[in-house]
Amino acid sequence: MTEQELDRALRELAEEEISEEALAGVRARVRARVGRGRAAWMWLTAAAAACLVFAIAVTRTGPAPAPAHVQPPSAPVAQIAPAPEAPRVRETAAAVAASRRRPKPAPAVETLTVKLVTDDPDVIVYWIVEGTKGETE
Amino acid sequence: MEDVIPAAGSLRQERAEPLDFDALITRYERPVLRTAWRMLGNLEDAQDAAQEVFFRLHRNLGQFAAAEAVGPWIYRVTVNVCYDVSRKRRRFAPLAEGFDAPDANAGADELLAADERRRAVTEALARLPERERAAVVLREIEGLSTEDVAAILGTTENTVRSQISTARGKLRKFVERLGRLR
Repeated sequence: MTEQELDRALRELAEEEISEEALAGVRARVRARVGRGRAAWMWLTAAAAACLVFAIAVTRTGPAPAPAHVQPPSAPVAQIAPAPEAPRVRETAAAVAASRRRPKPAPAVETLTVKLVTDDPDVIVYWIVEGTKGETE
Repeated sequence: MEDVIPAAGSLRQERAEPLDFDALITRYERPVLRTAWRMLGNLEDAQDAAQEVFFRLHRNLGQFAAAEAVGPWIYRVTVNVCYDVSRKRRRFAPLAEGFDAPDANAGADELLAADERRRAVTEALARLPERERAAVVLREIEGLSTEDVAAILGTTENTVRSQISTARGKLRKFVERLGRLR
């Protein structure tokens, strides 16, 4: 085989026509694959957008509950709680002492005030009577 | 006609073309498919390769500031994809390649037929080493300049010339052994 014959054979290969059907097949496959890629990107974008919206929503609603969680424990618990503690102990002690003095719970007390008017207009006697029903002290 | 992308000049005259993917497919589908066909030896594998090439083009469309770089790039990708397809095919279908035994009963006229000649050279091309085959396909069939072929293959012009010279010698021997040409 000569160089010229080889050249001719290679030229014939270059000139060999590619069928339109083969080209159309490639085009269709490329477009289908690109379409699939686009669809995948659309889904990814939609998912990313949804995540973003969710994140924004969480961020916006976040600050409102935060003070509710943070403030109450620091202020009332620290300042108010210790104050009642001491009186409560004293009250308890006083109550115990009172209960020792008066074992029974105090009955309902009725107060009766009697005003005595004397001849002297500057002197008025008030007589206060305390006692349970039917009892006078 | 836009079938053949001849030489460096034409590869560098694409500045004015917009980077429209459909237009690029129309522009390069024949050269890409033909290159893949000659590199791989059959049209079905060539279609797979061409599909992959255009998908990569679509994926990388943004990297081209102008269409001028698409020509060399698309040939380079075509050659690389063909290497991959060829290696896969070799791995999974090792018996698919090889010379057909010459038909002893074939007449001289038949042996000289253009169709036979093309088949013989196609089979001979398939026997060449990858780099030599790529050089011959790009330079001798696609008609690119030695400079462009060197750029596409990532080598020097001298190497390309040497590869083509060696490949031509092998092709002649292969075809003579096939007995399909005088």
